[in-house]
Amino acid sequence: MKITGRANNQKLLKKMVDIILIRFRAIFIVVALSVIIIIASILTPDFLKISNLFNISIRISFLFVMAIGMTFIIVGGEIDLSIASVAVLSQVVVAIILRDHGMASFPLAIGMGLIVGIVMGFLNGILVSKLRINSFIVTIATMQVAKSIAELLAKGVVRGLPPIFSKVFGNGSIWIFPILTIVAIFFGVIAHVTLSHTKIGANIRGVGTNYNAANYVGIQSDRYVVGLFMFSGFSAGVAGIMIAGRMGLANTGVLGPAVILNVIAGTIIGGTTFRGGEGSIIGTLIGIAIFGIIMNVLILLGVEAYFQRVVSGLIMLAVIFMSYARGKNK
Amino acid sequence: MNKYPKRMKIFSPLTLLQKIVNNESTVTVTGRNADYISLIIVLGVVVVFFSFLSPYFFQQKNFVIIFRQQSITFILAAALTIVIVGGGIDLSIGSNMVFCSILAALSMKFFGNNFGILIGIVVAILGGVAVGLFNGYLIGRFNINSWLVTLSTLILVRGVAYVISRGRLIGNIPLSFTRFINGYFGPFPALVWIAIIIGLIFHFLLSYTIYGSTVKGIGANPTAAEYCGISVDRYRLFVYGTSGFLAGIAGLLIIGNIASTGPYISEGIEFYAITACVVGGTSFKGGIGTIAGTAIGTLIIGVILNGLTILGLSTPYLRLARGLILIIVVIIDTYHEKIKKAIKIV
Repeated sequence: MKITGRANNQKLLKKMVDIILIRFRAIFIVVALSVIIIIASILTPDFLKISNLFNISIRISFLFVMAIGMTFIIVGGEIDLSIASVAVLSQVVVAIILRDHGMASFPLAIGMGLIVGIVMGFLNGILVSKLRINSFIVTIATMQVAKSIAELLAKGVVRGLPPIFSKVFGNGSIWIFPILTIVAIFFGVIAHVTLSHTKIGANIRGVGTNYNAANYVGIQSDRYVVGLFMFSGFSAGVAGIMIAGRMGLANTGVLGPAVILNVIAGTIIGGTTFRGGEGSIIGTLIGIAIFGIIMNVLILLGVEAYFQRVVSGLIMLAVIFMSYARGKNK
Repeated sequence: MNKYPKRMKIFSPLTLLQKIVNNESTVTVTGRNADYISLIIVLGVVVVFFSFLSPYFFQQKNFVIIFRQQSITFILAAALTIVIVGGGIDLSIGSNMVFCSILAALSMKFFGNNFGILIGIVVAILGGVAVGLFNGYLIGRFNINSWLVTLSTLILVRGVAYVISRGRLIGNIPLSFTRFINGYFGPFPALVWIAIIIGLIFHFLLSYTIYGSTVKGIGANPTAAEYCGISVDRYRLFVYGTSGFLAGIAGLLIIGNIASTGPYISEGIEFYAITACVVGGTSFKGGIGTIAGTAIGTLIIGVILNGLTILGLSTPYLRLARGLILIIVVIIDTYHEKIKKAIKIV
């Protein structure tokens, strides 16, 4: 079969695209992010206002914290749909404790919020690893359970939290950086180092790539899976505490079905694939940032809420095509 | 000489009885008989349980209510069964349904009475199939993970539905359509009969035709199916198209049922449908699952939710019940192989 000149050119082009998308993937998404920020600043001058940046960075912080847990889970080869609902549950728990016992119970409230998340994560982990049930099904069920417990506990909206909580913790800032963002970045740095530069992270990738092979090599896959779900529950707990702080109350309707989809979308944009074993926290951060900024631009431009969904759906499709072009799609 | 295994007769309870009488093994290779029986037993137990708990439960009116409540979820669950058995998943089916219902509602309002209803039906089905084929094309031709594609379509289509409807509820559906769907033919309204007919047709298609067997084969082992010469891409297109078609029908039933529609309705209905599929024995590994099982699963969930509502429990408890049912059923499902081996064959 003769290879014509045109076929050669096509191959060369494909190779170049591959190199850009794979080898320089990290640079690619950073460039994309910068371009988006520049376009955003031009399109909507309001974008660069401190108040707007403040709001975006808090919003991105919530999603990023949840996405940290999600990244670990997807890299480990599973999926956790219950993250948003567990965050709501922990938010409700924190709010109830603070409402009933005042600021003196602040450490207790934070602790309980985290413990609630860890316990739900443990439940998920046991069902997935010991009983070997598909994580998709388990987390759908846990999502319903967490949502209903949150609603039963909250009996509507939980108000009456000490105002210091939301003023200082939720909306406060050190210089221009919101405290919540600092917390999120701190968390993110630790998570990134763990995932990408420690043995534990390498083991997680191993489990994600091939559960059984990891077992044979000596990594106790089932324990890792339980640990992963406990960690994602923990990050959901952190997110819940942050939301309670930001809003000053606990509202069970606040995290709709869109949130979990945005978290997954951001994670995938950042380079984590569903095959498992691939992904990084920095990529997730950039992915969530891209997503959050695009959404913010749309809000500033006055686009209605659901049209934003159309855009986010299109973005996801575009990202999927990008990863298809790289040949990594199953 | 007949070298092919005997086909299972359609009325398996009779065959089962025959085998018990003859002291033969009653557990087939696929375990089909046994699976239905365990589901029916669960349904019976649940019905008896709630009949004891409340006098209002065991009444024809109440059973009709259960069927009415679950009809639309069942149609979506049937579509999902086909897709999951084929080895994929369709998360966009709820959004697709809402999208089709909005298309139909707008057409019906725009074109006026009889002609409008016809156009509405055609538009809904075409819209549903279009979205389904969009999914199927991306999944079949490009072999992209069905999870990702249908997740994007979920978001996208819901958004498009909002844009088309300008964010508002659409009411004033032509009365003749609503009256027909809600009108009683015998014990059930047309809504339920349509669901039953669809269930029967697609159960036959999935379990007793070559197309159905091929879909099961693709779900169980797509590589082997490819080697057998089956065009897996084309079948995937077909399967997702079917799912879109059923979503379109469900959309029509929604506007018939509640005489209105809007972009906010039925958020999360895909998860209820998935629960029904899993309770009914559909496995995410692919290749295993029947629509009859899904039907019984939907009924089980419907009975439990209805019973709990009669007992006065509020929405959060019902949601809790849904989650717990899913977990319990999946645990039973995972271990029922071991249970079956432990019990000597009757």
